[in-house]
Amino acid sequence: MPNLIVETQRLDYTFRSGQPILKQLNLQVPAGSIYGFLGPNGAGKTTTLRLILGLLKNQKGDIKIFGESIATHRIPIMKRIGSLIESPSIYLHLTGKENLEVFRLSSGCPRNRIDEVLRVVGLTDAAGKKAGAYSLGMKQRLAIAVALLDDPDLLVLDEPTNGLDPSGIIETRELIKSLNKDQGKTILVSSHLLTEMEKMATHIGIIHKGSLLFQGSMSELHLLQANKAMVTIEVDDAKQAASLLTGFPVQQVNGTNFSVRFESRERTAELNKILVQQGIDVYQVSVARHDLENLFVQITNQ
Amino acid sequence: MINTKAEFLKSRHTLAYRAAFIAGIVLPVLHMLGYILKPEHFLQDLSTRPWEMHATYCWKFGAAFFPMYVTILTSLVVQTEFRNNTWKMVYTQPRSYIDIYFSKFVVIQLLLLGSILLFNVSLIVTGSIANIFRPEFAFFKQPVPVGDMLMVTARMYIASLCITAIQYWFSLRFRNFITSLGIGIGLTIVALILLPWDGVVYFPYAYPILTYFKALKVNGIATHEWYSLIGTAAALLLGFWNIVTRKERG
Repeated sequence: MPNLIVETQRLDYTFRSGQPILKQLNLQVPAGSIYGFLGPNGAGKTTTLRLILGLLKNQKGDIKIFGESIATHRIPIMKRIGSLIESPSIYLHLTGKENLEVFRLSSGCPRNRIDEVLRVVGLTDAAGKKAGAYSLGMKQRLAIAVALLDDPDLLVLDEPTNGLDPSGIIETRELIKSLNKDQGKTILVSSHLLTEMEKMATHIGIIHKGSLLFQGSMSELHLLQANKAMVTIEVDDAKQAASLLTGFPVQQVNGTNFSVRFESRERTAELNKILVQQGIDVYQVSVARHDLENLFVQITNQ
Repeated sequence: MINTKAEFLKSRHTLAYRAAFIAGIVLPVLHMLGYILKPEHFLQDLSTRPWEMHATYCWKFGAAFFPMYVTILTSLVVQTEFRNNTWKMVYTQPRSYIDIYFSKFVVIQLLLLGSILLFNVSLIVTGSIANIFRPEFAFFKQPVPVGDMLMVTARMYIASLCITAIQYWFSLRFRNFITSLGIGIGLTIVALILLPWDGVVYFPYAYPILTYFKALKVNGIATHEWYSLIGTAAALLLGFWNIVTRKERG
């Protein structure tokens, strides 16, 4: 069992209206990972993160962070977490540097951290400008700087690339990757964009309608992806061809096309050989690998 | 233990700061302009008991508007967090709830005290300036009654304390600035209506008016001022309990 930084056990959460938001959520964020917490809007991502940070009162189930409960160890846990929840929350009437000073006074970390985190997020030159005059990307970076201020072991970032332009998205992604790689920080980052997560996450959790549908490493997700790949074959007589392929997982037959679940390259070649040997005209054999996007749709449609 | 410095830094350059400053000087300055422009209206008072009368002119308005001012100031300080959407940042800092709750209340109190002290300084400065323009006034001939001024200040502060504690709770509770402001101003109007009634001593929003217009001659602390202190403690504790036990923060 890997060392888990965040672990929830059978987490349930219900809105006051009685609408269930989270159902038996078992989230496991391993140490040193970039955990991509993925799900469509309204799936329960923000609720989960707010529960983890103690912004929502836990109703049922257990939340352990660094092995401790937030209910009993809030302050020592918070000392080791940096967070950014939804839109950047910073004081717009203060300068970037003053914002950091406010939070530095709260956490009690040394003053030189301010210049350090400003450098990390690339805001050194804009440090004296009022945060209200910042672009959305700069605000987001300042919020990340605030999260980094006390040199946390765990970063919780809720949709950090939301509303950013492409270069802002790339910058934020590179920053997250380098924080993980160079400084060894564990990062729990939520998003509704799978392509975004694919580029940085080491682990993935897919949440839909309050339930965790998949959780595992990126390679496990790729394995799942391979399992869902299909071989599509175009022949002169699909029905006859399909009947010849005993021992192959034939799934769909229609007209001149039929499809078989992808097993391996060798099996695909074998399949082709059988068809040709039996006198079937094979026009086309193609492997349709589900990209993650399709996989995501497929998983969330189950 | 409590982090007042960070809270102070937050309210820099905010409307709360400016409101406290303007409230501290506006009445003395307006009266000074009146003395200079229409000296004949004030000559009798200002040539016999200048400091006392200058303070009375200003405090009369000040006392009537005090509950409203306290309401506005409290709402403005708390509003900084709602407007910037920063409560969630505050609650995810390694700070105790006691710190979060009381440090902001302390900032409100310091702003309030600062503005009443500024009010006193303004009384002295504006009286002196008026006397430079109008030598017939007697400001320079008589000593500044610092002791009396501080006594009025201290008692007005005590009388307003309970309103700040109640308004603080409302301001934390209601995200919308208008709600807490509306409640505060509404209750101030109710206080004015209730003034003739004996039971008004149980109505905190009337306390500054009671202190200035009815109880200034009482030696020491008047009954309703004791109630103000008790009410402050009760409102602070109830407010704290309410905020700590809320199911949602930020």
